[in-house]
Amino acid sequence: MPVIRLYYDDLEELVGADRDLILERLPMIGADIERLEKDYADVEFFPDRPDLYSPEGVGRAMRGFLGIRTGLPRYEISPGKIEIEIDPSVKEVRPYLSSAVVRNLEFNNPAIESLMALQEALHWGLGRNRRKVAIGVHDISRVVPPFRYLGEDPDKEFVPLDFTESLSMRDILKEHPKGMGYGHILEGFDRYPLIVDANDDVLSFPPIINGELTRVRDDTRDLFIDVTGTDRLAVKRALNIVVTSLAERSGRIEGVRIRSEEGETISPDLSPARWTIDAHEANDLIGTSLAPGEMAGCLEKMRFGARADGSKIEVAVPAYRADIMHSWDIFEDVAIGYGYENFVLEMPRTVTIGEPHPVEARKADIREVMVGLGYLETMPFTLTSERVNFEYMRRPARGETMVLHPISELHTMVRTSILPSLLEIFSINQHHPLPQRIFALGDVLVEKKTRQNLAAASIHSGADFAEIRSVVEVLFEELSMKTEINISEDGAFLEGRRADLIIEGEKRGSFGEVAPEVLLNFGLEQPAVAMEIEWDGV
Amino acid sequence: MIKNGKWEEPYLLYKKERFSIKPYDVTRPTEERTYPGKVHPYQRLIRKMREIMLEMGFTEIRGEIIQSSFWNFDALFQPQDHPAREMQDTFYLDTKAEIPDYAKVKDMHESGGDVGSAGWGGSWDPEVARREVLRTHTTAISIKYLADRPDPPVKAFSIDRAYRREAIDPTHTPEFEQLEGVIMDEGVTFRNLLGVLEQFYAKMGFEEVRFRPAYFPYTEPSVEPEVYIEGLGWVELGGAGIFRREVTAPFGIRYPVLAWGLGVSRVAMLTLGLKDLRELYQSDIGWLRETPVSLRTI
Repeated sequence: MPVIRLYYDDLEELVGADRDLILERLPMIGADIERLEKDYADVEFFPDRPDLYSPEGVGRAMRGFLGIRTGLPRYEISPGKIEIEIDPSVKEVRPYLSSAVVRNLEFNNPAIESLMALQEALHWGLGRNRRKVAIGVHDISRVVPPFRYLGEDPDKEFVPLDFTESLSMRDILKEHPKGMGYGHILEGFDRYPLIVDANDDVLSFPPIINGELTRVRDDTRDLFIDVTGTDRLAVKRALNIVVTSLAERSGRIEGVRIRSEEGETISPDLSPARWTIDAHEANDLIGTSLAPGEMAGCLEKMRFGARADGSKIEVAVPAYRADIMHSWDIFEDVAIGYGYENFVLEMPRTVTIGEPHPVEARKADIREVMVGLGYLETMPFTLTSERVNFEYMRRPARGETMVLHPISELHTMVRTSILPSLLEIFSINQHHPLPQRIFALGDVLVEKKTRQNLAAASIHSGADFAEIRSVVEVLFEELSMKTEINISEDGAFLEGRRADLIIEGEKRGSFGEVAPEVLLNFGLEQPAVAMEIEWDGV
Repeated sequence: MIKNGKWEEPYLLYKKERFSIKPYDVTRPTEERTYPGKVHPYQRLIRKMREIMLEMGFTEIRGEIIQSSFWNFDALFQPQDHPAREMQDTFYLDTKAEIPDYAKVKDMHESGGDVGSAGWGGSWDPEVARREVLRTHTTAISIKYLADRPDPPVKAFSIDRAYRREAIDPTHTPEFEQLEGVIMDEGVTFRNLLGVLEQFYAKMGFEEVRFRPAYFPYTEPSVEPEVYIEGLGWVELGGAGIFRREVTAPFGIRYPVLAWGLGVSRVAMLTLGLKDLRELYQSDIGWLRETPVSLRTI
């Protein structure tokens, strides 16, 4: 999740309160303070609030939350002359574009840093790593409107950001770090998205890289912002977040006329979404008894426009909020505005009788017996490898569930048996005194079904068949399980010293003296005996 | 003779003469230690949590390790392009599952169903929902359980393993235990959820709890409880919220579902003084032997 750097001086100015108060209250709007340094704090915000991914957005929210300035923020959009045309050729690869002009900026250091950080955080949060949304910002003084957004031949050349030579779009994907990072988004398309000016000079090659020409510098005053993507709504929201954030400083927003096959629109559109909520319904969900007027007050603190009308509340949702899709999303803001610390806690009156799961109850019985027999419980991972689960055990592969893209060769499948993990535990514990006797209870996956196994093993110089046979006998007697014991073919155990456990005519486990080859596979230097049984449903 | 105690003297004399037995130095420690069989310290913590949940009237539930994406993600209103569903975070299998009638879930994702939600837009693909995964959270079990029992009241919990595609390090393991509780009933509220959480943590030995807004994709409102631990301060411990209507409505669940969960291994780290989570799974037998049964933990 995005971590936003908030410089105390800047933050105090944006909020209009002192840093101690801001930092104390900040977590209560939904934030994790990661680090407090001398000059700044690093704060993590949640994926549902991309509007908080900048100090300007945080300032706006905290002014409301602290009661300094509440209600819907208003942003003026002045009419402008800048036009951009969306050419049908870009429809297939990246159909949506929104844009705006923001003038009168003063890029002192925190402002430019926060714009860059906001852009990156939005690429992550709303943009699904630029696939869904990508944002470009440009010094508008370097280019000549009107602009065009089109699908261009990949051989078209321009100088990308941070380069001095011109490169074809095709080569940018191969040679520019951003091209290598995001080129996969354009895979399979024969025309790439491009934004050019009246002279065919390149502003941007979304979602990859801007042109060097429009680089934002310390002396940049006026910005052209393009947001492109594959989701119309997400594209608009990202633009709204960026422009309102800039307007929180000195920025003046200017509309851009967007022409396309569908007609003409003026962007950005900062009109609030209108909702009507029912105060009873909200109180019923969050467990409060707020009067509609009080509830509207809570929402105003969260920077909504809110007006009580009988038991209803008319709500205006700021255009930069990306998370309001259902009335309960607004109810949550009522609760946050009310303050989580102000809730009087109350247990629900639901009366029910607790009941353990039979499998867990059975496990407790098995534990009692195994502990009584002197065995220590272990809880190994269920992820393992074919090598350990089958090969080391001299057993044929059967019934296994492989995972796609394992993270290491140690964890390629879910175990079909627990015993190999016990032998692994022995192998890392050879420096501890013998005898060692251990057991484990837990899930195995056979033929993709979760089943319950018990495995136990004992290692010491005198370990022999009689020892494990007596454990098996005691165990099944104590658990009132009827088992038959037959001669076994299980390669994990020594021939002549191995047996199968049969329950209701079906083989459910085996036990015996661990075969010397198996001991060697696990690097063990003492004799061991072991048993395993699938007991689920028995 | 035994009754009046007169046997003692001649008996000792007899033993002394016959076997030349000397009195022991009973203050001397034994040379060879006995190691008893024991329940794993982590299992004892899990057992304590189970007992708390059972005492609070919850029914214990279990489920399959392999789940369809449908139950693991879609039923919980996770959009199909959500980053948590990507290959790099989730263990996928190369197989597909049967999924139940999905018309309502599809409609909810695409256009918000009939609960006044906007939905995610786009088109919802049943083939994506059929892909099987190792469950990434036990919430997959909870929603399935609720879908089978849409009538109130339901109070259920599980403590079981979940799987995430994470590289192993001292604070991350690719599988870990989660505790999860759900309460579904007429008239239950967010305030009730906070009340349950306070009780639960108090029973765990955490006397001071505070609540902070949070975000989880399938709950609204959402909350993160923090507990006060001497020497550490406020520590975030778990997450909670009310299942979104977009989650409950497609399964005919009409009343609010209060839900919370926490990572059990995180509690183990705090209470067993562990520095490395791997210790729980790749056990050092010395550690198991030395850790007393009556550990003053929580």
